Amino acid sequence: MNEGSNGNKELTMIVGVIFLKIELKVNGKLRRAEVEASERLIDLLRQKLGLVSVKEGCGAGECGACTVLMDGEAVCSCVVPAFQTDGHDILTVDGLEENGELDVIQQSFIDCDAVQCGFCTPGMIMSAKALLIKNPSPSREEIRTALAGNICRCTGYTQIINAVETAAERIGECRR
Amino acid sequence: MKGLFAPQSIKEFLALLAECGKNEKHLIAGGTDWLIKTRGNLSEEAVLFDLSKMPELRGIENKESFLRLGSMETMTSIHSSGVIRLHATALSDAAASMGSVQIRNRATVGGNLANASPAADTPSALAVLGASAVVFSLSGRRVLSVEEVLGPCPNKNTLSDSDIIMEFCIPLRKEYVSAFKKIGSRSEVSIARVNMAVSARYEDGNFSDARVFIGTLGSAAKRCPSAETALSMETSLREQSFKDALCEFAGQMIPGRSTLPYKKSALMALAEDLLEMLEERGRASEKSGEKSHG
Repeated sequence: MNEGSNGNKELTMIVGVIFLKIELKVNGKLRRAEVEASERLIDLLRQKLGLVSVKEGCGAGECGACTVLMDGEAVCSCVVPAFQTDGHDILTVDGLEENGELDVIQQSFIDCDAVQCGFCTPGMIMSAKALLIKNPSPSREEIRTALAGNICRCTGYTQIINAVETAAERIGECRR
Repeated sequence: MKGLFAPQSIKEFLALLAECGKNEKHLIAGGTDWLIKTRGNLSEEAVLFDLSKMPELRGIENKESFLRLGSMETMTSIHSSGVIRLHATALSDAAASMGSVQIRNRATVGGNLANASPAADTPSALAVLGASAVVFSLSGRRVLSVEEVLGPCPNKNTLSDSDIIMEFCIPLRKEYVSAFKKIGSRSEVSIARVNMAVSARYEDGNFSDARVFIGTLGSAAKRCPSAETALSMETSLREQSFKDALCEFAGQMIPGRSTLPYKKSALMALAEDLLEMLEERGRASEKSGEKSHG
């Protein structure tokens, strides 16, 4: 168990700390990074890849501010070990905009006044994204369940649920 | 930290384990509890094993007399499985009520048991269903009931850091119904203040051969034999006897603790809800003729 290849993970020793080389897709682009074993996905995204849209609230998987999608599923990036994202696909709110146009969920959040201080917004939008990928026409109850892991201390949730409902309606209109 | 391995099979895991000797070992499943516990502080001697690359630890299969459940299956895969909902309903309830969507997508059933939190949700459901865990270590394969894994001490279980849970086997018992429910501080995303799982044979409105496990009374799942007896009583006495037995048991488990009055009233509320769920499920399975361990 010396440093170097151990058959699975390539390890590099930098000033006494072992780093692991990983390769992952972030917002559609292939990225390579060296991460520490106990590094969290949120640290990799914010500090190494500069994606500061990913917010840290509780750091314990309870507030949902750091929600990103991993292979299309919502996860709290503060409780995902960075090394476990090797070979996986990560999507943050930065990756939603296409050709200068906001995603329908982002636009609906603006139109429905679902943003106040904005700290919870990226996480809320990513939880909504994961829901609408799987279920494009959710009930209000299904929206509530999907967003139950995201805490907002400003809006009281009504506008946020309205925004997700509006986004779902707009997706439905586009399909018709 | 000394090294990180991502074995692809139990065989490879055991070979790597043999190389580690007495070094401190961390087995990492979904990582949701591990990252919070370690907070970046790993000893120089620590050796990490990433269990996410082992296909043997995955899968949900109906094997006729039992269900096979891979230890790395997530809460999301468990509560969205039709087989689990039909044959191990209490586990489906527990997986669906654990954490948030984000946590359920990562947290695993093996990790939930191995982490030994007294507020864990799936251990009481697994125990009530009579599940056993298939565990591998350098000394070979052994099969332990979930109760044996849980052990008597709070915040720890009987597994060592060299034991890996490969899978769970849940017996399929016809004419049985089961349910799990918890009470926590938030409506959906919460750590249980009290949780309870119940299974019983159901026939014409009567219960027999019941199993009752309560979580959070100092450990992840404590069996409550007096509540099991109460469930077999005639319908007019059943509910009150069940509640009385639960309250008395809580008093024995956590005597004098400030949360005891709260836990007693929470247990009584859970008792009412669980009885309703069990009766409803019993009637539904009798009606459909598809009686199965649920």
